[in-house]
Amino acid sequence: MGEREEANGPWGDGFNETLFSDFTGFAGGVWDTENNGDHFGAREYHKIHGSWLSPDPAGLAAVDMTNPQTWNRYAYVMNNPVSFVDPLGLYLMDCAWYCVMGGANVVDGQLQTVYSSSGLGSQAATQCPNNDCSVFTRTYSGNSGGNFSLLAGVNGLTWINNNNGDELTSSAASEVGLGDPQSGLPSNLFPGTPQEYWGPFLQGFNAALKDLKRKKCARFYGGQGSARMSATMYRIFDLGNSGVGARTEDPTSVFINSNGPYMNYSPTVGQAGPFGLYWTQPQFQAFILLHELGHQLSPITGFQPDASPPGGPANPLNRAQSMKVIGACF
Amino acid sequence: MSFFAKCGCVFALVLLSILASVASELRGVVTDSEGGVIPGALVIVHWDRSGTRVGLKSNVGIKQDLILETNVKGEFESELPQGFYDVFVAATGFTPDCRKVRIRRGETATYTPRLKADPLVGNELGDTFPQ
Repeated sequence: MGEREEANGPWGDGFNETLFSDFTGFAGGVWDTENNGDHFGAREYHKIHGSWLSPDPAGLAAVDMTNPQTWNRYAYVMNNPVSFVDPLGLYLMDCAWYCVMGGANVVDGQLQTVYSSSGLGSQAATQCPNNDCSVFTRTYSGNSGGNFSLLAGVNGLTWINNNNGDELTSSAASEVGLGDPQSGLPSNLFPGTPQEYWGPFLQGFNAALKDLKRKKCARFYGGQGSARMSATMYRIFDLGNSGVGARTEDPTSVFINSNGPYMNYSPTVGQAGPFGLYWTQPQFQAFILLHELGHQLSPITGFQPDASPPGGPANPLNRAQSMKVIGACF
Repeated sequence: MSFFAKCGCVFALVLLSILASVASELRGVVTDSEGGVIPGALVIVHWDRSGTRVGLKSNVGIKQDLILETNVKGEFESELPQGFYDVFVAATGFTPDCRKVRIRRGETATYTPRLKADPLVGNELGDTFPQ
């Protein structure tokens, strides 16, 4: 029997920082590291272990341990050292989460599908195909011959290279052919758009569509706002000026700055944000997209190009047009 | 079919297969700086006739410029005779990119430009917001 670590995680429910060593807290399960040393690269595991035992405070704030969707969101949204590529689709994320939180027994080094009869455990049966909770015990082979395992920590799931214990970045996972990196790509983004942008994009995009359901906001765009946004292709990349949020190329093409306020803005509690308003991050992202929508539908909104060249004075037209959007939609 | 006719058919097939095997090609993918593909990008292929007047046989080239457009996956491709080519790529809102490409007989040359957002366009269209 391998070394057994007690699960005394900060949540008091048996969940600790690292799934591997701390499965003992679940339904009496035992993790046998000797039997599975090779399978999981246990020797390298401690190297990983060290990095996972100090969870990122921001990560903890971002993840609601009672809600698997926040795991998904975190993994997709946050640009952090934890990377996630899901070769089997999003269900794996949910399945893995319920396996962890629902409780699973480990016998002879294999996770067994022994769930509690109620609560999260009962949901594991519906989330995991065939009650299969072995997502963490499988080895996945990349097209280039490497073998990889899925690990779970408080910050989400990540892929580990079995040969050296290194975490795989999503781009590296793509290179070795592990999964389809474009699976789940939002239809308004171009293939090849890095996965780290999908979540922030959808967050703002969906918030904007929600805003457009309000009558006043819909009227401002002549009732064409939702349809136009749905028909727009958004390109997310570095626009070369961190002050630029986005720019409208043509009525159905908008560039979003990967190094600008759309991606970087985060509200400060008790402190007003841009235009003196208390934005949430999704609201501010939605505002940027709706400002661009004003340009896209300029025959209706009367918007004119309102750029402020780098180093130059702020364009008063930008502010005036922004206030129109705010007045109509926020 | 006579013996000579059969031989002729075999010869033709062998010749075709040899010709097919030595086809030269230019292909590539046009993306933005983050890797997002750019459909509808303009690709102009212009022959550089270097050496052709001093006996260089490996630069066959084309007499008229070739104009291509990337598909929905941002890809372009064309068979081309061996030679030197200047390949120019442009897309709306991006700084254009170009490169000298050498296409050898029977080989595929690739050119995968990653286009950057053009600052001149950005100066007139980029929306800045206070953070």
